[in-house]
Amino acid sequence: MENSQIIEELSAILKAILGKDVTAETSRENEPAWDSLKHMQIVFAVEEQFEVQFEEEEIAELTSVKAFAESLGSKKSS
Amino acid sequence: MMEVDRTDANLTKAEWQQFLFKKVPKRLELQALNPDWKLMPVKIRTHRNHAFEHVISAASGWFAFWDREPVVDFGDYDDSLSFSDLTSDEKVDLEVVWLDADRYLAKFSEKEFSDWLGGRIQALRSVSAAPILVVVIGLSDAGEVELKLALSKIPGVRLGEVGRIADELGARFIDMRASKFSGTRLSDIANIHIAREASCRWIPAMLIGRPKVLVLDLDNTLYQGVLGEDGPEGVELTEGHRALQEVLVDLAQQGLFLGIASKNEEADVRRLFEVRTDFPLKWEHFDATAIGWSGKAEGIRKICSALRISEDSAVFVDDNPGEIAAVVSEISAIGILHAAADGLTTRMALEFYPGLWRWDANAEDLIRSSDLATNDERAELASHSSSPEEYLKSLNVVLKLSLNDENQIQRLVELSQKTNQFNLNLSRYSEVDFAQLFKDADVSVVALSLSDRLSESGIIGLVVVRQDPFQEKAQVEELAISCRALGRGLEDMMIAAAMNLVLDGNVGKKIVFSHKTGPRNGPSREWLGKWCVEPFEEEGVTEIHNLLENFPDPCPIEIQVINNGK
Repeated sequence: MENSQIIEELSAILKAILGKDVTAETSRENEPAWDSLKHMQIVFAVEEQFEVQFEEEEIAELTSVKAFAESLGSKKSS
Repeated sequence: MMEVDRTDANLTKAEWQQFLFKKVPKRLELQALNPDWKLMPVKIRTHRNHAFEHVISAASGWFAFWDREPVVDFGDYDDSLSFSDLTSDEKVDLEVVWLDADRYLAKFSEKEFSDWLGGRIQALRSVSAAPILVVVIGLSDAGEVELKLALSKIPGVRLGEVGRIADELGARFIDMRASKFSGTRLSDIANIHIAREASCRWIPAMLIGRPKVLVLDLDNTLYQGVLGEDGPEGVELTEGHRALQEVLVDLAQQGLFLGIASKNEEADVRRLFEVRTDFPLKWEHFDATAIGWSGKAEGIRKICSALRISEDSAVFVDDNPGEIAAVVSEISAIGILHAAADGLTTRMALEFYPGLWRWDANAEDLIRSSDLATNDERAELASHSSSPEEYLKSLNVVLKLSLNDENQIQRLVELSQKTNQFNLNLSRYSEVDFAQLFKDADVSVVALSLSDRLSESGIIGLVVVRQDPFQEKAQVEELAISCRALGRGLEDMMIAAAMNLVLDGNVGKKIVFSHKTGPRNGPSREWLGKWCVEPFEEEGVTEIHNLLENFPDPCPIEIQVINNGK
């Protein structure tokens, strides 16, 4: 799966959960709606959509759209 | 946001069914559902020690399906359930107590926890009249039973049992990764399953009336194929359609009426049910039918009229979106369900259709259908009787009166909430209201049960009377009689017998009735008009005269007092 396609799907997931438009630059730092409760909902939805599972340590580090995309890219290629 | 009309809203709901009622709903699909029609807010106040947000965020589509929007006051996490900020001035529609028992069970046994929680819920009851839904994770099956028993003693409280969901999901019920980040150890799939149970079953069963009839299409709804083209032997009962028919049989046995609205020849349909002995549904399961070539809205009206129920108590099930749109455009208040090509999906939708599930089946549910089926026989008897008295004597009518019997509270709530035609003051008492009425020494609550040689009708009426000890009057604050019991010429005797019981022979006492005009309570107002002293307003209190004095002697029915409240 292309990185751009991953970002596109991630953006759709985050938009559904945060109720806001997001870009590849969106992160927990610059998006106040992305709180810890929403974070787990995003993690669960991404796991469901991409059929992957994140380890506990990974979840803490998935703090931006880019971080999600990188993690998914490596999981999908491995 | 531009609001759409009910026809468009119902068509959108039909499209949503594939996401809402699939076996394993997906969060992303659920959260993408954005209703664009008018929703009624349901104010929910939570008292909790773990996150409820993941449940409610998944539930909005299911709430929208019954035209509601949850508006939640989440509150802080509080293991002690102190309710310290609560006052009885803050009105909500529902209190939700949402607990993880894990921390409590490190210190207490499940029995001690149940006793403690029962006490806290009693404290909440004392400051809130709203229904209370309690959901606790982490209890054993026995612990859940123990807690249910402890809560059953408090009016208006229900335990949402999650044990079945935990059993179904097994190891997937808990996700310890979640507890560090999201304030609960429930997995996402567990949150979603609980959201569906709460928003489609538990909460509608606490807040709205149950539909009374399912009006069913036949072709490609109850089976695969078209009767007129494939013939009775040619239509296919797939495994999914068998499962659907089985759940319909269960619902019929629980007292829900079934009707058929189908564009077919009636003789063909009758033959279908004769020939297809493999169908779980039999012709006898249907309480009313409208089979022919006129519009389905007209057929549904005919069915509702035959069953003496209002059209907003009906749910129409059809595979054809065009038929659904046509019906909704004529009967806007009707509920709809789009039947999928796969009968299993329709079965799932029925199992979770908001309002169909109920906490407890009562005796009246089980006898409703057979009771109604005897009305034609009664009409036949009446037409051959020389007088109303002879008719009533030939029926061997027995009226049973019960005063202040708290065991009947569920049925009394149902009568108060759902009776429309013969409901004089439309008080719509809740379980909590009745519990308070039972405690009030000035109030008498009379439950009326009816039977005759044709059927047992169960509890069909209620009368609530307040007597001020310092005034020589009795004020009837509510009078409701089920439409099943109307048309037998018994209203005067039922009400007079109830008043005789309450007044304990003091027939000289002034009797007044509180009343209110509603959209459909004309029959009760006509009755009041027959006995009132002066013309009465749209709403108010009016005196009646001579009701007790005109009680027939000899009485053509047998009256039994089975509980005089002493």
